[in-house]
Amino acid sequence: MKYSILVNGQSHAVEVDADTPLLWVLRDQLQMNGTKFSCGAGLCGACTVLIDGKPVRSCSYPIENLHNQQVMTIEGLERNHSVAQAWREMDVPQCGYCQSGQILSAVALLEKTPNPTDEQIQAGMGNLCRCGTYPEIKRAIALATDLTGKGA
Amino acid sequence: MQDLIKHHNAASTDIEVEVIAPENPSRRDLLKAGLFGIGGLVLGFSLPSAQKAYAATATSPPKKYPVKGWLQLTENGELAMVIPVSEMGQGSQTAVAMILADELGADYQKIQIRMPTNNSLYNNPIYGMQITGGSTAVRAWWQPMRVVAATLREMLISAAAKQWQVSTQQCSLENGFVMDSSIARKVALQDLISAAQTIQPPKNPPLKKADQYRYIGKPMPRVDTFAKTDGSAIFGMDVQLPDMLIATVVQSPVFGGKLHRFDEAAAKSVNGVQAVVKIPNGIAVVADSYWQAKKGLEKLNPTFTGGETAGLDTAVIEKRLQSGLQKSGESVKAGKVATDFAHEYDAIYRAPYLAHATMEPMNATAQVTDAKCEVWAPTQNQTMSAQVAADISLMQPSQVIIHTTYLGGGFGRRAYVDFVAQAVTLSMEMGRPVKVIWSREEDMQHDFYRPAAVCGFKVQTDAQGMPLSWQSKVVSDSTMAEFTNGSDTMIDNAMSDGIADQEYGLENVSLSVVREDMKIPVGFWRSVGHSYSGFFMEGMLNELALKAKRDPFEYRYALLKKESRTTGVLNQLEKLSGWKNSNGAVGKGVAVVQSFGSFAGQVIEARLQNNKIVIDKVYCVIDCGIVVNPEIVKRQMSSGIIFALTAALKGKVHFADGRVTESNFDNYPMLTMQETPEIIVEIVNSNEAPGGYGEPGVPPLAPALAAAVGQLTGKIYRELPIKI
Ligand code: FES
Ligand code: FES
Repeated sequence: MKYSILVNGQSHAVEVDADTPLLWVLRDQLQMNGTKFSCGAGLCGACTVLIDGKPVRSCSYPIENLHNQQVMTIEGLERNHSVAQAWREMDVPQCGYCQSGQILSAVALLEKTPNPTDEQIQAGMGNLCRCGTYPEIKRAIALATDLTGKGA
Repeated sequence: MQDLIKHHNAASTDIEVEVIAPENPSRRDLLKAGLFGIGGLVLGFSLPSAQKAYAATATSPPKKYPVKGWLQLTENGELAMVIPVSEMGQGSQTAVAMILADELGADYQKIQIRMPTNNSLYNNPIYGMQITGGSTAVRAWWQPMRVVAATLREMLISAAAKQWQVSTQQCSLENGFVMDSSIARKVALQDLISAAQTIQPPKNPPLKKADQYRYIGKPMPRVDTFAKTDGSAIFGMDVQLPDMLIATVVQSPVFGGKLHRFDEAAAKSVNGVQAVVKIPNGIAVVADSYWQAKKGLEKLNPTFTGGETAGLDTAVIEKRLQSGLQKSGESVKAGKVATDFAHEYDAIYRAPYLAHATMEPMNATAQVTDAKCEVWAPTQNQTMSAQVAADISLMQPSQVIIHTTYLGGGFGRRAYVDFVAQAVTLSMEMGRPVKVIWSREEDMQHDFYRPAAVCGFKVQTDAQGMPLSWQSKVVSDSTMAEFTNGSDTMIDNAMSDGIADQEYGLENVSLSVVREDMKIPVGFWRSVGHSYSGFFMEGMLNELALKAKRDPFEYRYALLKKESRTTGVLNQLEKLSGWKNSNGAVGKGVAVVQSFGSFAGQVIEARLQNNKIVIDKVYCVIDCGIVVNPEIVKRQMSSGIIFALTAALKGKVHFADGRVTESNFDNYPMLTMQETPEIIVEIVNSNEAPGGYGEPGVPPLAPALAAAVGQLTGKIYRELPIKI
C-alpha cells in the first residue's frame, strides 16, 4: 500500500503493508533510527513518538491508522527545546537506548502539564529504563519546567 | 567477567613508550586500527607486565613487547585515540578521556575518540583479551593512560623549550598550548610535531599530583550525551548499509533442540521475504525489512524436537540444587570446625536464574565479501566476535573487521557473540549485508542467564553469638565453563566469589563448591557471583546479628575488629543514613560487600503498604579508591541499585518443559520510575588505587532489603526474589 506520512514537518511517500507499525516505517523505510525498538509490544516506551503532540508507542501503531496527523520523532525535536536542554544539562543518558522515548514522553507531558507534580510525572512517564536513569529523568523534567518558566 | 582483582594487580607501572616515526611502516598498520590519518605525532605504548602475566604459555618471554596502544597528535593539533572500551552506559569513554586529557593538559571534550575495532592493541590488560567487563575500564587504563599522556606532555614541553632555548622548568602544557611562564608566550601543539618526533620519550615521566588535576575527581559531563539526546548515537540496531537485508531468528526454545518442521512456502509468500535460512540452533527469515521478516517467521511456524534441557522445569532445577548440598563438592577453603560452641545455626539461601534484558535486543550486522568479513556489533567482546567471524567465514584474522557501536546496555550479555555468528552466517548465505535483529521474546528466551545458586551455611558461635567457625557450600553452575568451553565439571572462582573472602576477620572458615550443570546457558550478569553471594553472606550476617540481639552495624564492627576499608564504609554509611534514629513503621537493613576492587555499603528504608513492599530510601556509600568522575560513579551506584531492586523484588526466570517461560516485560518486569526510591550516594575520600564501580552497587542491595523487610514482618528472607 502507498502512504504519505508527515514526519517532522516533511511529507514522505512510502510503500508498505497496511499493518506495518510506524516504528518500522520510520526505521526501515525512512532510515530515521532515533526511534528505538525494544519490546515490540507497547510495554516499554523506547519507540515513543508524538502524533499530533500525543505520545504513541510506534511499535504497536500500524501505519494504516495514520491519517494526515503530524508525527514527531527525536530527530524533529528542536536542539534547544527545554527538554533536550535539560536532558543535556543533567547528563541523563547512560546507555542511552531508551532516551529518545523518554525525552518525547517528557515533551508531551510538559506540553499538557507545564508544572507537573511528582505523581503527574510518574503517571506521564511510563517508559522503562534498564540502566535506571529514573532519578535523573525526574530532575531533568523539573529543570525543563524551570527553563520554560524562564522563557528559554 | 570474574572478579579478578585478587588475581591480578591492574597497576602496570612498566609502560614502554616509543615514537612511531612517520616513515615507520607500522603507521600503516595503525591506520587500519583507527589512526586518524597517517600524519602527526604518534606514540605507541606497550605494557610488558600485563602481557607477561598472560603469556604464561610462552617459554621465553619476548625481548620487546608489541605496541599495545597509541596516542596521536594530529597535524591540526587534535588529540586522537581509540578508547579501548565498549561504551554501554557505564561512562568509561568519558572517564578514560578525562584521565588522558588531564595528565596532558588538554580539553577532554575535544579528544577525537574512536570506538575500538578488533585488534590486540586494545586488549584489556587485566584479561589479556579485548573485552569490556568485570568493572575494569578505569582500573585497567588509569595507569597506562596517565603515563602515555605524561610522556607526550614532556616531549612537547622539551620541544618547545629547545625552540625557545629556555629551561623546561619554566614551561608547561595547558589548554592545548605549551606556555613559557617567564615571558607569557605560547606555542600550539601542532607546531611542535616535527620537533617532538626526534625527542626520545622520557622514562618515568612525572605524573601530576591530585591538586594539579583539572578534571579528575570532578563531576564532569559525559562525552556521549549529545549523541544520546538527539537520536544520532549509532547503536548496533541502527547500522545501515547499502543493499542491506534484515533477518530475524527463532532458536530452539528447548536449549540444544533440533529444527523439526517449518513451512518455507508460507514464509516466502509474505511480501518482502527473500529467504529462509537454517542456522545452527534455529532458523532465520531474511527480508527487506524487519516487519516483513517477523511476519515471515510467524508464517514459517518452525517446530523443534529434543534438546539438552528437555523436560527440565523450575521445580526439578530447584530440587537438583538442593540435593547438591548433600554432595561434598570441591573444597576451596578448609577450616577447623569448632567443637566447643554455644550455638549452631543452619541456613539455606537461594537465588534464581535471571535475564539481562538489555533495552536494545541482541543484533549485529555483517557484510562478507570475497576479500573480507566486516561486522558492526554492539559487543563487549571484540576478541571473540572476531574469532567467531573468522571461523564462520573461513577468513584469515587479518580479513576480519569488527566495528564496535554504542551498546544499548550490556551487563555482561554482550560478552557473548552468538548474535555476531548469526549475522556472519546470514550475510554469507545471502551474498549481501545482513542485519539480524532478535525480537524481545527471542532475547529473553536465549540469554546467558545469571545461574541460580543455593548456599548452605552452618555457623558455630560463642555465647555472645559471635562465630567461632563457619562452613559454607555453594551449589551453582559455572559461567566460566560456558565462556571457555570448559568441561561439565569445571569449577570457577566466580561461583563462590565474595564468600569467605570479605574483610571480616572470620576464622575457621570452610567453603566448598558443587557444580550443577543444568545445560542452561549461563553467563556474566552484572556483578557475576557477587550478585548472589552478597545476598548469601550478608544475609547470614544479618541473621546472626539478629540472633545475637546485636545491632547489625555493631555486630560487623565486632567481627572486623580493626579499621579497614569496610569499616570506613560502614562508619560513613551509619552517619549518612542516620541509622540510630529508627522509627517503628520503617524497616531498615544494612549490608556491605567488597567486589571488583571496591567496597560498597547500603542502608534500605522500606515500608509495607497494602501488603506490598515500598522502598523509600536507599543510602549508599562506595569506596572505589581514587575517583576519576564522581558523578559517573554516583550514577553507576544508583543504576546498580535499581538493577538490583528489579532482581530482588521481581527477578526470576522460570523453566517449563526445558524452555524459559518469560518472554517480554509484562512477565519479566522492570522496576518503574514510580517504584524507584530516593537514592543517596556518598563516595569515600580515598587515595587507594581505582576500584570498579559498574558492578559493586548491585551486591549489597538484596541483603539490605531482606533485612529491612524482615524487620517489618518478623521473618527471615533467604530466597530471592523477596516475597512477603
Ligand atoms: S518497543 Fe514499543 S513499547 Fe517497547
Ligand atoms: S539509559 Fe539505558 S535503558 Fe535507559
